[in-house]
Amino acid sequence: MNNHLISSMVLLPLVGALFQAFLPGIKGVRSDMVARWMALSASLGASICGFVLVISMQRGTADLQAIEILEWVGSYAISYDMGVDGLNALIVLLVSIIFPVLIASEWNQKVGARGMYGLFLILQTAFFGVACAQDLFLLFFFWALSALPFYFLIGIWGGPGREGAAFRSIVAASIGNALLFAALILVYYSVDPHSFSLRELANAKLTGKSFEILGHEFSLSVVAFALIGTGLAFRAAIWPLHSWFTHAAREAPPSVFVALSAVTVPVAIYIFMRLSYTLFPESLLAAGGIIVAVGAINLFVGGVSSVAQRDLRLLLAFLCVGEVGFVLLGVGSLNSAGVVGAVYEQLVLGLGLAGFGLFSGLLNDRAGHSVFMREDGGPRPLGGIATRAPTMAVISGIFVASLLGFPGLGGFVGHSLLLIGGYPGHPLAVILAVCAVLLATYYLFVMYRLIFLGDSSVEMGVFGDLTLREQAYLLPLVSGLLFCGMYPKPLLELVRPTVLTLLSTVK
Amino acid sequence: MELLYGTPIVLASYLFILFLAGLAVLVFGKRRQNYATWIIGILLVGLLAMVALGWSSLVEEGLHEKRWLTGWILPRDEPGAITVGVLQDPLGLTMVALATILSGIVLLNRGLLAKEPSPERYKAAFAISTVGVSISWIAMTPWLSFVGIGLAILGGFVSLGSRWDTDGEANVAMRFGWEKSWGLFLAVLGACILAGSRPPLDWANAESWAALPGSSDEIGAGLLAAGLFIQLQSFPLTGWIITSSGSPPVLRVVLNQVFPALAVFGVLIRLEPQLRSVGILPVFGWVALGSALFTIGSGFLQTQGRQGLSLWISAGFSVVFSTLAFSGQWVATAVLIGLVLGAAAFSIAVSAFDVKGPKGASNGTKSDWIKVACFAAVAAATGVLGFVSAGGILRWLAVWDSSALEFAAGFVFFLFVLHGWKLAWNAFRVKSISDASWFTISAPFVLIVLALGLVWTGTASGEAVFEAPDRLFASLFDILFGSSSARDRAGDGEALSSALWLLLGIQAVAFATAYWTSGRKLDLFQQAARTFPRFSAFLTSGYGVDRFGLWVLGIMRATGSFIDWAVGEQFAGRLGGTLAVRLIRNTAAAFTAADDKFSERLNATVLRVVQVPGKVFQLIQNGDVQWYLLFGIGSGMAMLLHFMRG
Repeated sequence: MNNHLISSMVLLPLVGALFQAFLPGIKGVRSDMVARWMALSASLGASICGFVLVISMQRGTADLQAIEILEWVGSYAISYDMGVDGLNALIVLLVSIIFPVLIASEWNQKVGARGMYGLFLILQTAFFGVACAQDLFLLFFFWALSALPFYFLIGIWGGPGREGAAFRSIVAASIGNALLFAALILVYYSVDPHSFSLRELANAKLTGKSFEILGHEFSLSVVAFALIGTGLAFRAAIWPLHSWFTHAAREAPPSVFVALSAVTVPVAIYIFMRLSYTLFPESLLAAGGIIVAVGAINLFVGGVSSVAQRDLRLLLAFLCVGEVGFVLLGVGSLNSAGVVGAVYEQLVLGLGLAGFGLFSGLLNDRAGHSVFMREDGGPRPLGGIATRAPTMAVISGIFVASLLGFPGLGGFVGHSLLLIGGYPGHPLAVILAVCAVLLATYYLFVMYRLIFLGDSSVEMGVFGDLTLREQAYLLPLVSGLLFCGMYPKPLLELVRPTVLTLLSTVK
Repeated sequence: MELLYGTPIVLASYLFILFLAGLAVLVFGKRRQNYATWIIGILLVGLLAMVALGWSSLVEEGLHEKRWLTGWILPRDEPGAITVGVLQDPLGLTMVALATILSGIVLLNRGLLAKEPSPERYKAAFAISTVGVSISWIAMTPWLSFVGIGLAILGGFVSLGSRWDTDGEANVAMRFGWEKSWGLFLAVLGACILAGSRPPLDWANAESWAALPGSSDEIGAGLLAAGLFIQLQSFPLTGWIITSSGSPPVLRVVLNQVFPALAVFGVLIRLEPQLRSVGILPVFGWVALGSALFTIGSGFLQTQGRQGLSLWISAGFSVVFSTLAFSGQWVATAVLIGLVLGAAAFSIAVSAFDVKGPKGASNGTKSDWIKVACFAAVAAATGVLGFVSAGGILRWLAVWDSSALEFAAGFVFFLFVLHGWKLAWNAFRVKSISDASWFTISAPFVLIVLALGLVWTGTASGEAVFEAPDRLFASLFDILFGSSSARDRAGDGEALSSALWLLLGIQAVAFATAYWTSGRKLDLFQQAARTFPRFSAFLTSGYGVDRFGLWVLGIMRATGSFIDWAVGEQFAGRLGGTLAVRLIRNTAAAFTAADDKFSERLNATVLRVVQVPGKVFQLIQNGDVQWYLLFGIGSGMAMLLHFMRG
């Protein structure tokens, strides 16, 4: 049955973006106010569609729901094929929550606001499209679409080194996309009749197929799996392909970096899970240990590197690298608890990173920087903020606590599932994960103490607490984390059946 | 109505309301201090009423425990399921009541806490910590207990918040936070490992804990126990304890030590049979004793009384852990109750010293009573005959098979008792005149009376004498641990008798030694500290653990910076970025040069090829060639005609 909820969700932000570009002037009304409200309305409208879509999903089934299929380029078997199941439902939720928050966070943007909102709306369209696409070409289309806006967002609204950071981000994205596209083409031509449809390709059983280059035979599934993994690793900022990410952390506006860390990275991992579990189960089974090893290395590097950081934005970047490692632990564990944990952690991680990233932006707005420790050991640039801004202290404490996995918050559920799933098969990786988490716990407490507790720093001047608008847009993130931590059952009931079905094909 | 107050859900719901009240007081209580006190006070009284109602419903149904269990993360029967369950039984209700009474007594002593800059924070902290301890004791699964422990930690952190606008106190809060978090995380990890290979973890399902062959049960149980042990803040994690703080001792002791430890023991005591089945407890028993030894060693030479007190209490919790490991649930519970009540009473008493009287006042009666309270508190905590802890300590001392082991355990216990009496004699030497109210001065005595053996065991000696000839009424422990525990508590007559003499000897020698070293004019411990300053500094700083930790952190930082530099800047930036750019540029330049050369040569060749016919056509076009051609063609035709004629 064709249900147009997904299309509405995907296209509404695009319509909003077009409106931003061709916004008519309204007499007596400031154009920037019109632009803001239009952007927020479009984003919220799409997000509401997303919420309705997920809430109306049937629980206990692994089947695709809300399917929409239209022929697009029939001669090449490319179709507009959309659907939602347990694997992508939480990504839809994540995108639905985050993008209206990002637009609200840039409410007072004075320079090129329309352009910025338009780009955010294009990103929202792209990510919704990636999440729901069931046709490889369509998926790649939206995925590639999601790369370009970041170039402009960083390059125009970024810091002093924005051009270099924007260039690095687009180069990394292009290389990753090229590798991914090569894999998709290989897969397309490996089946007869050729097809991009995930369902048809899943039934075609790509294992055992091979292709020839210059007289040498190569296994299709191994090569394609490797290309997909490497291609997505670029955009997921998997170590050592993460340097563009840290540059972006330094130069990009906080809201843009949130879109990178809290949305792009989880979506990249989602794509990897979707393609590898559906198309290359045998390769995944063989490479499970490698994926876990990569995850463990990311965890270790993320934890160790974060301890060396003195700027909140870079700390966030390396925390993201480490947490991605945690998720990979679950992806490679190939058991129900681990994989369910990986899917759940994508949502929770996104919300936590978004909150933390926006908090660093608020700090930057008020104090002019986000450095919390000097390299030369001089007096603290920040301190005692809890007495001046208690609401900010509490809310940022919640985000930090969730990233650390405190009971009662979403991070606890995700981390617990990942540990339960990861340990039986890969105890060493889990021990490495534990060391990294302990290190990160210590350092985040140090960071919190240096920023919020103790004597007020004389450099800070006036430092106001969160305004009503700031509280309003942080509230969905806090509520999401509390809900995910206290009552994860409804979401887990969505995810589990799909994961169990996918694992049955792997094993 | 019966169902309403009988079910465990009602108690859990009430705790949630108390938690919300604590949050509300934290947020709004600054300008409404009186309201804050009333709200928390009334809700604590209400909690006691809930406990009483719960108890009566249990009595009506023959003391059968009530349970409620549901899947929280993953369905209940699936391996790895994380479940939440509430257990309403006599033991849980009793400990909830104990925590509530403790909170209430401290909160009622407003005079002690009058100087706190943000009183609403410690009021909120008491509410949150009480909820945390209560949840931990009524939880049926580790997961809900972890929530309880987390809340107890949060309460402690919030209480430190009343002073954390200064750097020193902020450091204390930070250390408290991350040390507790480490313990909690390790405990969660251990539980996750155990959960990964079996149906849901809960106290009721004892079969689920039988050690599975080839599984990681020992590692999981070990991590769980280690994480919980870290919460007791014994050596090596004594960092925040030895950091100075301006808070009244009662707040630090009750909110930052007693309540978190009570929450932890809510898990440990419930889990004891299961942990014993996996086989990790004896090892941890010895670890706990060793830790207690080091902690006491650090505490002896502390110059500040409050640091010494806190270290003594931490060591005491380690001793309780050891009693649990070697002697079981009820022994640990008895010793724990004595220690908790004794420690709280002592901290209230020494806090009362800080309530100074007017200059020139000569009435030292109040100070004298405070000193008596200090001694009685130490007696309760260290198992002097007549207190509930005595029976437990005796059973623990009686359990050893070999004299070497008995000596080791007895020596550590002797040091613990010595430290306690040292603190009491130090308090005895205080000369200040206290102006605390009589209510404040009587509060420790209330707790000390609660710690009497008569209250818990029905005997004057605290079941210290074999077969309890001094029994006046039935023991409460029969209800808490079942009537079958009476046989376990009876013990072996001969072993108990020798343990009794050992206990009496330890108490007497420790009391006398403490007087001789600390009760007279010169404190020999402080004298020793001055004589050996470096050694003393090493001990009092926690055996250099902090320095080692900072050294490790420095290495981690350097490693992180190096990795960032090597991969981020050199590999991706210079090597990857610059080299790649250089390669691309050079390749492009080479291609461009080759292309230019090729184009040039092509141009030249084409030029040469078209040049000759071009010149010919040029000549034709410019006219001269026409005539040459005409003459040439004409000549040729003439010659042809000539030869054709000829």
